[in-house]
Amino acid sequence: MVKIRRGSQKRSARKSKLTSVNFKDGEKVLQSSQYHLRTIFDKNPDGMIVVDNKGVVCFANPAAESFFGLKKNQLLKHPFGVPAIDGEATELNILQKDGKTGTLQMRAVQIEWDKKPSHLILIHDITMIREAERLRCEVDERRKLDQLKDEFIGTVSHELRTPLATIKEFVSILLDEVPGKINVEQRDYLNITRGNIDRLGRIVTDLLDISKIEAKKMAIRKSLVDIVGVAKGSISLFKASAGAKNITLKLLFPERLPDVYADSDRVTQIFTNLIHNAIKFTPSNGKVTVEIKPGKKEIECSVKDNGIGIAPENKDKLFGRFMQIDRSAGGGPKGTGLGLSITKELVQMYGGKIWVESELDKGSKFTFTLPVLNSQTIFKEYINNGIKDAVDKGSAFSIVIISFNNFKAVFKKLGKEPVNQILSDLEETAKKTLRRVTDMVLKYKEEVVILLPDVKREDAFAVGSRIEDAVRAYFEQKKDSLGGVKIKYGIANFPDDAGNSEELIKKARDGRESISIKVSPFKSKQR
Amino acid sequence: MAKKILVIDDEPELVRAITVRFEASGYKAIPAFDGQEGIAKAKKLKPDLILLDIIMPGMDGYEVCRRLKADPDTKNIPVLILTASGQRDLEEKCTSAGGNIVITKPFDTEDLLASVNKFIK
Repeated sequence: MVKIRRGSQKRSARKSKLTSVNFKDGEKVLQSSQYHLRTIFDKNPDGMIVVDNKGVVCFANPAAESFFGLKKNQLLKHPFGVPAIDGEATELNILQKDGKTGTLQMRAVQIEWDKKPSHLILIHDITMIREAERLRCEVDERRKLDQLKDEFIGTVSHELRTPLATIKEFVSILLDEVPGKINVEQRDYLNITRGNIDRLGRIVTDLLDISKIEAKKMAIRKSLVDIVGVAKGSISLFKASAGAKNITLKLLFPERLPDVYADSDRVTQIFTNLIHNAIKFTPSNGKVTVEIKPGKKEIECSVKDNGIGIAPENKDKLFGRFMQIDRSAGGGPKGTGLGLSITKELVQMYGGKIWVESELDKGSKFTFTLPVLNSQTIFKEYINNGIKDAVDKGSAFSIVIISFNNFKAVFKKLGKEPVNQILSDLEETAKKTLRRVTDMVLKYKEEVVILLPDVKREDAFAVGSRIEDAVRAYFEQKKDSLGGVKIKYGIANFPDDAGNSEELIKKARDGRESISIKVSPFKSKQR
Repeated sequence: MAKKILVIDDEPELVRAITVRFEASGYKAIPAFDGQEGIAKAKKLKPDLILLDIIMPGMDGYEVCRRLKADPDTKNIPVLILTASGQRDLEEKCTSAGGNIVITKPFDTEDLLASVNKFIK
């Protein structure tokens, strides 16, 4: 242990007349430096061990004891067990108290200890550093794996669908008697062939969807979706198959419904999966009813049939994969057994729930919900996702904000309702100029905001000028009633103009790039 | 005179099937088996419509489409994209490359012919 030779200090103190006066002080100094040294050893988070040249421990500080989980007497006078190599850093894996493996880095220097050549070993805990490195490697690996999976999914899809396309087209050519007449029996066989090609095609599509969901590669794209419109569109796809079985297909919905924030393609997929099943498992002359109801924070959609129903013991299995409760029951083309599993995943992906109520031989009712968010939440989420996407892909995100240049005056002159009407009209006008499904227009407070994911600055200006033309045309039409209205619009782009969402909104709101449109009843005369 | 449709696809058998179908429907089909050949034939023969595959060795369909749309000789020819790729952002990528419509393989003949008729009256 640390010994400071008091004797020699005393002697030197006595030698000097000056210090001899302060003998008591010298003692104090000595005590305090000893205390300092001890503190440094005891409180040091790095371990310190001294081993003699036989490898036996002569000194260990508390940090060293705790690293190895040994008490002082278990360390002292015991062989250390790890060779000390001067100047070289060695790493040692240890089992920590919590059962995890820790990593210690050790460095040794030659010293003299009690007049014997020894080694001072400094021990530094690098568990966290190694853990961070390991995690980084893991993340990199996972990313590589995801990319491989993605490529694999793409390739498999391509490789399976290409030959299917050729087979299907030649079978269709034969069926259409392009090369020559076929007889009834040949037609029958070829029709069976074509039906099975279609089935295989559906399986490939479903498997792709499942793989994408599993690889978390299903792009979650959200925009405002008119749920009734989607339901109508989905129902129209089944006119023929419902008509063939003389099934009445009905849609019930209230007059006013908020938009849901989802992906219209995916909501269509959810509806079509459920309607397809309902028609399939409903006997001729039956009834299938699609109903949309507003809830508190969600919209509830249900597809009800008076078909064969589901036995209670099968209800839980229903949403599992390759689950076909009764393969023979439905008739018509066979399913893939993946439809409801995909439907459930899709509903959950957009924050909803799905369940089934059913009675055997009476019918089934599948209900799913989709959350309704307020425009502020959607606005923020959309901008933040857009920017995040732009960062990930190294691309951009642009917004255009249309607002009144003289809101107070217009509000005073026209009143609340007409102002709201102008904003709604502007929203519609802007919507018509947009060409991509990912572009979104939102009426937000006293503004109309156009969100353009993955759009560069110069392209945003092109979109902006299209919107400007449309807005000008709108006001030209309304100039008699809307005289005095001044409109401005601003464009801002991430990352060119702003580094985050707040800045982006601010720039678009007050941006120098704003252009004002004045509506005046005399405008045409002035020209 | 029959309208000309240029079919750019690296699958010769599918090109043959589509050719048989188009000829039966009164069109003249011109085959091209890669992007380079497709662009050259588009410039030289001025087809009324181009049917374009996406995943091809060498130049892919997106690039072919971009080049066709950048060239004043070919930029007004409608491009119908016919692909077996399962990528979700496919439609967007095709549209931003200048494609007019996207059909996925395996396709329904009726859909294909309806789309073709829409662009060539």
